Amino acid sequence: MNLWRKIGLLLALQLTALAAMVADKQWTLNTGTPVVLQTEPVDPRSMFMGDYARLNYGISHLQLDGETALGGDKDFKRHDTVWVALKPEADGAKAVSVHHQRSDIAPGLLALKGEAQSVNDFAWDRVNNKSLKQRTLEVRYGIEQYYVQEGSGGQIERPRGGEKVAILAAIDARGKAGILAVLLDGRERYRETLF
Amino acid sequence: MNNHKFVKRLAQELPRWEKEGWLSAEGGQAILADLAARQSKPLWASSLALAGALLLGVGVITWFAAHWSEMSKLIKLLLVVFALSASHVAHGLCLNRGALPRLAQGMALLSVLFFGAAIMLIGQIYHIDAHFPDGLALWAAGGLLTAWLLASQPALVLSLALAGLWSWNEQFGYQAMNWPLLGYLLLAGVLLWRQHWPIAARAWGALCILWVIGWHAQPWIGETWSAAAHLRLFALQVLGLAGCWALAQASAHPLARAVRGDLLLASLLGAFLFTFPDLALRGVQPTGELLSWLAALAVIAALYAVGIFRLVRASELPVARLSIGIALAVGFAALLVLEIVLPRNNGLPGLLWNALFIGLLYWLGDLGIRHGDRLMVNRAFSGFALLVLARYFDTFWSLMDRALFFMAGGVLLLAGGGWLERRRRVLMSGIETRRSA
Repeated sequence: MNLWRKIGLLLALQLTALAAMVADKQWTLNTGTPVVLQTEPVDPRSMFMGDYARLNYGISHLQLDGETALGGDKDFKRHDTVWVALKPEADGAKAVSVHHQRSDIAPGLLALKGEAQSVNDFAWDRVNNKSLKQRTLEVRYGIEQYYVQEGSGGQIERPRGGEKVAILAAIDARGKAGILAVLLDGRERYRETLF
Repeated sequence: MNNHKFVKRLAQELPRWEKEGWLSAEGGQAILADLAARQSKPLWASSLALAGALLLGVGVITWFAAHWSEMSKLIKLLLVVFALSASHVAHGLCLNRGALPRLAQGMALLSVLFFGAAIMLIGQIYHIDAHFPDGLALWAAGGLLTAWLLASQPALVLSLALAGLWSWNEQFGYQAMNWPLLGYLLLAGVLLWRQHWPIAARAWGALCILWVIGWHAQPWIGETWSAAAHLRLFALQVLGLAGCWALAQASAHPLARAVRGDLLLASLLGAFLFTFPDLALRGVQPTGELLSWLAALAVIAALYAVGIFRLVRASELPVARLSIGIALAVGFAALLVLEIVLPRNNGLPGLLWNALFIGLLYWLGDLGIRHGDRLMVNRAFSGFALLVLARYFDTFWSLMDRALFFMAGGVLLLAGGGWLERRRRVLMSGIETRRSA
């Protein structure tokens, strides 16, 4: 094979790999079931984060004990694969149970795949401003970052004037999630397109 | 000596050689003319061109970074494709039109960097927030492909470094075994078998060793490093590394020649750790799962035996020396088997390891002197100095409050170190003398 053919082959394979990344994401967005996920305020912006908004969801912190504990498994450790059963509701999807295996999720519920970030024995009560003894599982779903135009990340991370930020996410058959749109007070602020 | 200096020195020497009658005047002129014709293009020219290309690349990237948020997705994608294609085409032009092989290698390296940038930018454009090491794996695979198709050693070295980062994140960060790395190592190994790239070969060997060490970060092997399972696994790994070294030492292939020094160093380092009398003495005693360890031992011991057999068969050492070598190899394997089968409960294995380690260093030094291998002799002396230091601290650390013992130990160490250095210098000058003769 001569040099130019090798270069052509290399370029074709590299572009195919990059296109596969885009296609995988678009497949999730096009075939996934749309659900609304409510976000929560995040910690102050890090100087290293650059121009993207960090998103924190209600389903990012799952209670494993106490009166409001979720059903399912309790014995998680860091980096475990987590399957969360979601029930879509008008004001945002709610987590119903959390499992190690997808097959344990009851029929009729949406299965969302995540990765255990940490298991904490204490949680911070924002209302009373004190620490509570409560076992909480922190989960990452791969939809925690959203790149926005320079300077506008703060509007999503820390909305002002009582604005509510929600995410319209698509969850595909593999349990993978992708962000379809960012909603400010129920109206689309950013919409994802292929080009 | 660089080429320019060599030609200058030759031009100074030629008249004397002609005067002595060793060379005719025409012959001398012909040699100089031939050298002048074969003079390579100055290094600074290609270095400047490479620096210029890099500066241009950095400038273009900075300009686009400043205007990134104003561009549409399509423009961003086109830019990514253009940058990647441009580096590939530049590589081809440097080789075909410009005959600039060094600059072409620089372009191949740049194309690997651009591929990584493309992965990150696609991730940003489409908000892809996946398992972080997967991105590194894709980048490393792209680098390997570049090295393979463009025959570029720098691209392979960069790819191996990325694969190291990938494996580090998977095995130490996520505590998951990185099995796909074996496929990568196999493909990179095939490429290195065909191409004779010593730097990349050493990086490949280092990556193999990193993967082997990564087994100890897995939760199933035990949470604490004092667990007996770690010691058993470590013994197996040291035996395996020593077996690979023996196979590499017996082979004349450039890949084997490149990696054997590091394999030997890793094996010796493993043996050195076993010389510590307290190693894993306070560890958790193993439960009854010996059978699986013995099965693994049988496979690795077979590899070690094949390596030693090939080494013995290829050896040109006198019978007496060879017998000592075989005895040391058997002793080494026997002590490792002992560590696996009978977990330590006293200091005796440590004592035996110290004796064996001294024997190994002596044999290594002797082999280095016989082959005129300065590096081997230096390594043997360094190993001996390290062992003496380790035992010094083992012995005198507990006697810290007795200053006299501590001082006596220090004096002993200073005297021993001086004697050792004198011996090393004598041996080195002997090697030099033999080489000159």
